[in-house]
Amino acid sequence: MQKAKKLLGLLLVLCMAVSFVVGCGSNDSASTSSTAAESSTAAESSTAAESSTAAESSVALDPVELKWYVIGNGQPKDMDTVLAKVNEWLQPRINATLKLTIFSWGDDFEQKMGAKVASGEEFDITFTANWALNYLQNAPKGAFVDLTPMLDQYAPKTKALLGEKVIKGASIDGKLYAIPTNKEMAHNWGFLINKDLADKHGIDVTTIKKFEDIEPALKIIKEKEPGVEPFQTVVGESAYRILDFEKLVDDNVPGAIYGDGRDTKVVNDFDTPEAKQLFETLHKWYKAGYIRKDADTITDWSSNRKAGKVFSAVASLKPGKDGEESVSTGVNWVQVDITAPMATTREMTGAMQAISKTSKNPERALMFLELFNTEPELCNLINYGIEGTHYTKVSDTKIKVEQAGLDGYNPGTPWMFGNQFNTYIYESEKFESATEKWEKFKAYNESAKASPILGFTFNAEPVKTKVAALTGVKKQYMPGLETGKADPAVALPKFVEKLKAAGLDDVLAEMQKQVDEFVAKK
Amino acid sequence: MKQVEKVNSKLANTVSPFWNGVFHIIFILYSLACIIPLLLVIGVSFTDENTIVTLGYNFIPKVFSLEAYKWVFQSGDAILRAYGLSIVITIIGTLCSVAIIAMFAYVISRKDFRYRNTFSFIVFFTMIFNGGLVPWYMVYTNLLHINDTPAAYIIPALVNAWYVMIMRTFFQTNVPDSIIESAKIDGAGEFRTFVQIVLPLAKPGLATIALFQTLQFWNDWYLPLMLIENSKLYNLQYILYKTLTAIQYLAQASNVTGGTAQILAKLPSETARMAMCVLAIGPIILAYPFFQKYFVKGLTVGAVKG
Repeated sequence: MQKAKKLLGLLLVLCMAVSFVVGCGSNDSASTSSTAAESSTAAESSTAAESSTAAESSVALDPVELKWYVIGNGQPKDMDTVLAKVNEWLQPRINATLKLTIFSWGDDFEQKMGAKVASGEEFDITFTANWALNYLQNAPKGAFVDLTPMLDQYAPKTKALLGEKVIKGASIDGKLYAIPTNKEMAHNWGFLINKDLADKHGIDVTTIKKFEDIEPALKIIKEKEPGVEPFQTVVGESAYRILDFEKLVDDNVPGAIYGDGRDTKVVNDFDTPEAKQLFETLHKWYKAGYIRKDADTITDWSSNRKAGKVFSAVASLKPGKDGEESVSTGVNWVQVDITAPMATTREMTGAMQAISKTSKNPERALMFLELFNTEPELCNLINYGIEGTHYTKVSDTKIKVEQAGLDGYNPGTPWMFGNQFNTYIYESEKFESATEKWEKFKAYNESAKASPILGFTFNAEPVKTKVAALTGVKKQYMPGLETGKADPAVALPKFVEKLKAAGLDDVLAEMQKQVDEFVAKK
Repeated sequence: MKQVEKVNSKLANTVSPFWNGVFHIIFILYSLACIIPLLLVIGVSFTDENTIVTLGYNFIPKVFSLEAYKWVFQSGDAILRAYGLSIVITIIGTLCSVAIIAMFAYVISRKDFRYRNTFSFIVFFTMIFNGGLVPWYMVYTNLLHINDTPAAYIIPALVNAWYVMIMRTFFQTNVPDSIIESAKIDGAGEFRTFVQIVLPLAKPGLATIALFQTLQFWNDWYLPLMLIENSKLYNLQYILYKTLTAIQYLAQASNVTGGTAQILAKLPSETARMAMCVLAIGPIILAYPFFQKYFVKGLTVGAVKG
């Protein structure tokens, strides 16, 4: 028995040792084999290039294939046809062919790209953002190529196009790891209001200047339109966001600076006078019946909006947001801006393309992104498909999507790709032409005030467990408060007390320390 | 004395009418808890989409509609192809994996196999330790290169250590050594003994494993999530999973991404999703009665016989 035990122990140790050695060894061999592969392909391609230069002296670049992964509605049916057109255009210019794969929202993209990044699989370009394949985590880990030194040589126009504010905002410790999509680079908060209902009851939305101004309108709707939610505020998609705190971690973790950029003092945003006043207003509205009774259990906000059963809600706005929402929900909306436009790190990192560390041709990938950002033809081809097949032009810059486009090629996400200012707009949009829309966007971007901590990202590592604990407390108390169901006089002190017990002060101190360091460095 | 024993044995085998009733009620409630959501899914799948928004879910459709099923069958060939792929993979996968598990388990169940403990340990070891996600992923993509092929559905799920252990125990307890010995004496080779003598005796065990593996292959969405990129190779469960997670994800990320409402509008409607669920349940419900008779047999074969 004793002997058997000894043997078993020995075997276990042996197994671990073997797996350890094998683990390390495979890493080594993988890297050596990849360098071997690299040199062999380099040799091959250089000979290929030589022969091609012999045939045609103008082509100086080796032919390469660029693998590009993005998030979206999944791979469209006609992707191959569109890519053939793209490559026809691309090959004479940078001698590259594109292989674009669109994964679906959520796990499909996250898991697959997570595995590719973690295992060091070879690919060239990927979509990344603060909400997908987390840019702020993956870039410092070394998943993406640092583009800062390459910009001047390979993408000078893109650099000029984005401007210093955006590049600074999207950089981490002064290094730019991905090219942000050129789109609206600021946000502001306000109301989306059902225009048909407002007109029907003679509500003049232009009189609404601040949050509380909407109250008389809610009263009218409550009395005259039974079955309609006068004010929609549900878990997450709530009215709280109108306070526009610049959160340092995310919506679930207390700790923010005032969104109007007045200073860089980190506060517990849930415990500010502004928050208290808002919770009190919401509680009053809840008691008056302006907010649905079960709001604190609801997370699906879209179906009631689509059914025309919502009168108003707080939303993140940009020029023409009401038109966009009207098209997608089939309900006529009008937007009322409440807060001033602010440019924060969140917008800068809202949609970007990064070049993978495993790419064998990072220069070519960047050259492609440069073309993608500056050539309207390429940008529209990838965004809307082939003219005449997938869409037809109704004017110079307005298009109508054809049935073939709806079925076969309709990524429908121009805000994710390249340079939105070069894209066409849909016929149904309320703007006269794309030029008008993009002029408005540019004015909006320029009017936006830059956050005093633009480019700052909080490193939560030192207080990780406390951040998780705070998230738990927030999820317990916030649904009641943000939907007006809980009485802030009772719930708010309890909420704050629980946050303090969960380590609030340490987290705030760590945030303040990092913010101060960031500001001092600037 | 005898009388007491009789009463005792009677008590051991039956329960009083009161407890009998209680148990029945518990199990009826439990069954209802399983069946009612299913009926609701079926009901919703036949309901008119607008009715759901205005009246909510109903078991019996207020406005009957076949729109959802029409959508499923007309929305290109993607869903039908996925359906076919699911069926083929489930059949091939189950056959292969049951064969491998049975052979492995049989060998380590034989007392006259010298390295049985070593091989048992190898299987057992994987139940406790594993390499983690990234090495797992690298084995299939960099070493075996089965990513983006139908093999990615089958190979990673071929052997399940737990089922090997179950089968080994089943062979040990239900296939007496003397039967194997007598087959040997009669001149049967190892393969013949295995196929003609051992496997028929192990039918109930095989059926159990086969059912588990059928469910595994049919319900699998994790392997395509990790290993399949080509949308033409998605199976049915994965298409369902993808749709549902996309909707949840977009609902949560609403304030970060622009224009999510447009995207949501393009995803299948509530009723269409329910119709896909109903279709996904179909074949597996048909498979149950087929395996069921072996479960009952499994109980009797395990019992002591005179």
